[in-house]
Amino acid sequence: MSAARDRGLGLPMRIAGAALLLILFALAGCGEQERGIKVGAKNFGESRILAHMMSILAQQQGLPVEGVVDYPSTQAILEALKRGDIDVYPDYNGTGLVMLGQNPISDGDTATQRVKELFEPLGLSWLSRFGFANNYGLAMRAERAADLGIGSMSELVSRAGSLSIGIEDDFERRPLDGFQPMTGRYGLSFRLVDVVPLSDRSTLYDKLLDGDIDVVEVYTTDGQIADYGLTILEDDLSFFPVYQAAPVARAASLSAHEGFGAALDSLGGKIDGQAMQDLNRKVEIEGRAPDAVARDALARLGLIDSGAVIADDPLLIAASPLISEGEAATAALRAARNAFRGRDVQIAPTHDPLAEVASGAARLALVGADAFLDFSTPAPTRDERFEAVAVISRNLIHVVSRLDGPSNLGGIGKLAVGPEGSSSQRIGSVLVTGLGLGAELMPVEADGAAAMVAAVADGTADAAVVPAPEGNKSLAEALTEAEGVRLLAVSGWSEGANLVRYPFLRETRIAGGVYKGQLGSLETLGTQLVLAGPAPVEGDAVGDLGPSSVAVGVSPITDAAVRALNEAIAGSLLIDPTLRQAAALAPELPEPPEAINPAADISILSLVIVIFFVWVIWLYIRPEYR
Amino acid sequence: MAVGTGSLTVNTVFVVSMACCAGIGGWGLIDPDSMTGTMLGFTNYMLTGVSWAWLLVCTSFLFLSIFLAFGPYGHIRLGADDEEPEFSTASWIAMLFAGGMGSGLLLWGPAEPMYHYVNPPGMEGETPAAARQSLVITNLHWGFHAWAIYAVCALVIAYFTFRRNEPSMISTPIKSLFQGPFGGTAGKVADILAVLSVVFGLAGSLAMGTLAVRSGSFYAFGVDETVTTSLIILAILFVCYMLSATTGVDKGIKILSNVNMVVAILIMLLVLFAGPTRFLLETFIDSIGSYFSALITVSFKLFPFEGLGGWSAGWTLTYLIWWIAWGPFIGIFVARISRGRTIREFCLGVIFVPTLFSMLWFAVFGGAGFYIEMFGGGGLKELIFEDATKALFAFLEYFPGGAILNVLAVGLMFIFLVTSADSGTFVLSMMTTEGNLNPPVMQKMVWGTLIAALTAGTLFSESVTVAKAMAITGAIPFTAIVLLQIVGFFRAIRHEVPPPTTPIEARGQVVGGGGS
Repeated sequence: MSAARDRGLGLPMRIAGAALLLILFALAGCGEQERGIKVGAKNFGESRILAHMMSILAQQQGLPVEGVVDYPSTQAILEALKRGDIDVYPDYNGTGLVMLGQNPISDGDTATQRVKELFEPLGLSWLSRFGFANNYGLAMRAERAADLGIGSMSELVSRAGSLSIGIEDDFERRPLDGFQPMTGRYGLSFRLVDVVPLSDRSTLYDKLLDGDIDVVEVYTTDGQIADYGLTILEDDLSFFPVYQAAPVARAASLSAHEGFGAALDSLGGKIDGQAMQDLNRKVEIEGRAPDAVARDALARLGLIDSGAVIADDPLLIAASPLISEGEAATAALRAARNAFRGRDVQIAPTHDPLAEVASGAARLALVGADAFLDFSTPAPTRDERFEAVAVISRNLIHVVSRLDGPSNLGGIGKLAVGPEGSSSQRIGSVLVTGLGLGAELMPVEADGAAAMVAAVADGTADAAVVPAPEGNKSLAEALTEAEGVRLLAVSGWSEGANLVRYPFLRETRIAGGVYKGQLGSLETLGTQLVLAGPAPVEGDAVGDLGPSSVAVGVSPITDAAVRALNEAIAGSLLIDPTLRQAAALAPELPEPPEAINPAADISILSLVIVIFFVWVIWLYIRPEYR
Repeated sequence: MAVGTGSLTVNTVFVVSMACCAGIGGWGLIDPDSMTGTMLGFTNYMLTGVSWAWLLVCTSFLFLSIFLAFGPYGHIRLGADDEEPEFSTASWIAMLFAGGMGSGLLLWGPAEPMYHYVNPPGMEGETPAAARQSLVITNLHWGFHAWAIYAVCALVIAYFTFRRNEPSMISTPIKSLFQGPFGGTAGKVADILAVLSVVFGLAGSLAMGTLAVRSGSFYAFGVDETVTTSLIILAILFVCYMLSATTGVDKGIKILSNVNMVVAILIMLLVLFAGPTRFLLETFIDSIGSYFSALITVSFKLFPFEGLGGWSAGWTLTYLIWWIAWGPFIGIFVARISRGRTIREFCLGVIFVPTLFSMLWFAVFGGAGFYIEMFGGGGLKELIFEDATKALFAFLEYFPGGAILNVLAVGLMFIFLVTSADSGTFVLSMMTTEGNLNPPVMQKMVWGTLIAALTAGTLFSESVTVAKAMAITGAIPFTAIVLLQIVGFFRAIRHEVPPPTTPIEARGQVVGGGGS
């Protein structure tokens, strides 16, 4: 070991070490010298998404970005920007004008021009607009607006006295473009004004869907508008100013960080109103994280090189076309979106929803209790492959006939029902058997309410069976459009053994006035309308896993998701005891005491194994044979 | 040990096992439900009834191999004392990993940690503690226990083959245990049972693997999931593994295993460095600590007080029984490629290195899943519970170059199948030619074709349950065989000459003369 050789080896190592240290110091030094970029966001989804987009784009440019900071109000965030606590945040040109005490303008380009001029002296620059405007607006449920014949805000004036409106308190108090100025400009006077705090704004949509209020104040980029198919009333007097979103940045930050301004401008014109609605829906309704949504959107726009970060596979709820639109479907969607955070949930219309669940094509099915039973045998047997996970509402049997047709069920010759496997077909056969009718079942290919009612109206069939929730939209429309049809009462069900044989069918009434021309309440039968999923397969202790194993077949909805579904449905009922229900909902039963030896066979097997072990040990320790 | 000349060897083991294969195969074709019911019923009963015995046996394999690695026999070479290893260490590890693991590694990579994170046994789900425990459980299932089972199965064979120059047969250690005709009969029974358990284990695993590749192709390329597709995949698979197996261990199997390893590492690195790298590496380091510190507890963990016997049977014991089911063929295969290594080197190479790799694998894949649920957009959890295969491909889409990852993933699943199938064919041919280390090509053709035929039959049934029943039923009788083999091995190894100990004076001299 000579000293010279030692040095010879060590020198390059030391140089490399020194270089490494220098690099590390340089890296650390960078962080010390300049403060990183901070992006501000107002505390609602859209602002957060835009803020994260700006932050990610700046990061992509290699700029030091510290993150996104939430602010509770416009005053606070503007003040923070002026003081230099943050470097940029997304705002609306209309808001910018109002913040400086100007009258808002309804023309976007003029407003942008004006706001740029006004902010320049403050050292703040407005950059390229994102390409969408998030204006105030009034919205109604589409069918309600159509019923009342309201398309614009002026048309609302004459009806307002009988309507209620829901608004949030920020809008209530805004001095120039708020509730008071709006009602003053149009001369509106509502029957009732329901005001909620700004943070509870999304409950306004629930109230609208539940029918508690008729008109709602919205932001035009709210994801719920497209989702629930709401109609936005036209602002025919151009009262609401335009609110086009754009980044507002400190001029000092833009010059300090090369490429920062260009990074922000790269978003200019890239997001239109529809796109922003989709993004908002992901955050506000589906509950996804704003940064993930922002990253995903940028990747899809090609602005960053990264894979899409959101799984595209939607979670499907299969439902009969009779109920795939309307309140029950909306309630199911809302519950599922709450329970399956991060998944896109959609309704898939199909005749036989449970078959879709069995094949794995759909995760859940929205079905009446009758779907769980097989009626091909004399006594209906329950299909144990599925379990009910939550009660959504009730399905009522509507028997539609012509005014000049049979006046009771006994007189029906041809009974139109849905295709094989549909709820209508099952219920039809149950009615025929249960009431001993002489009617002949006639499957109609299209399982829509309109097709069924049309078959009755044009005389193809004497009556049709339509299982649907009370007041179902498509059924109500079909009954309104078709001339000379009415609903028949289902009576005499409790005579005989029907209540015992078909316990899931319960006697109920359709309230008077639900459908056009139906005055008094009507006797009929109803089932629970439930969300159903695959039931666990029992009996196999060996799992589906292993080094070369493949999991096929469908697995049941997890306990956590079942509980979340039930929590998301306000005042949900218990599941009809005749249905198989998810284990998470079943009551815990006290167990009777076990015998001291519950399984004698296991004891014997264990004894055999112990003897085998002893024999193996004896084989080892016994003396060698010589 | 002449190189195969192409002639078929027909002996008792070959004839009887062929007859049994035909019998069981026929049963499966005529009445698959009754065959599955009987086989799975037996396995279910044994797993739930005497769960304690399986856990005890598998855990004792782990402690036995630790003893062998660090105990007095660690220095013994599997071969002559001066023999060099036949394969380079890298190829050796690649071959044993590719043979011993299956496409499940890919499929369960993101899925299994998520299962235990959401539904952990005996604690509240979706908490940081559940995430930590989830990786411990996953590592228990894929880590030391799995490889210790393989190592024990392989070591007993390798010792008798290379150290004592006896035939490379399952029966060799057992015959050494008994004198007289009983040993011979017991040996024959053991050989036949082992052949049957390899044939059916392999056919079942290949059927499952083919279904996995099929659904992988569906999600990656949109190929229809029909019986025809399965059969086309099987046909390609058949050609690949026959080519690979007939060229011998040192060509086909070695090259494929190296490719397999490279692709696996590539996918893992892509996920690691395109994903949340810091989080994933922190997860890996954290999982090492929690796995090692929990190793003793989880090695003995059953749930008598919680009433979670079903969980143990459905997860831990199912995995253990799978490893034992693969034991006979991985054992002989690993023994075949381990000539010239010392027992210590063998145990570290077969147990420690693959375990570390799979710990990293699950930390990366499972960790990325946790990250998506905890800090990302979420949505993976429900997808995994809905369909694990679909979830794997949705998971890969989260990363840049998702399309390439999908193709690589399907490719890797396929290569895993080929490597398992060709080592299985090779091993079966060895088993039926009195342990010929380079069995004749004809023998490989016969077994390779038989396995393909059985797999095709299973694929026609479209039933994973049938495949599963075939794959793991052999494990239970084979456990008894392994225990007897171990006793034979320990009785043989205690006759080893102890290593020449350095005389005390010499040691003193070294100490005294050191330091210059």
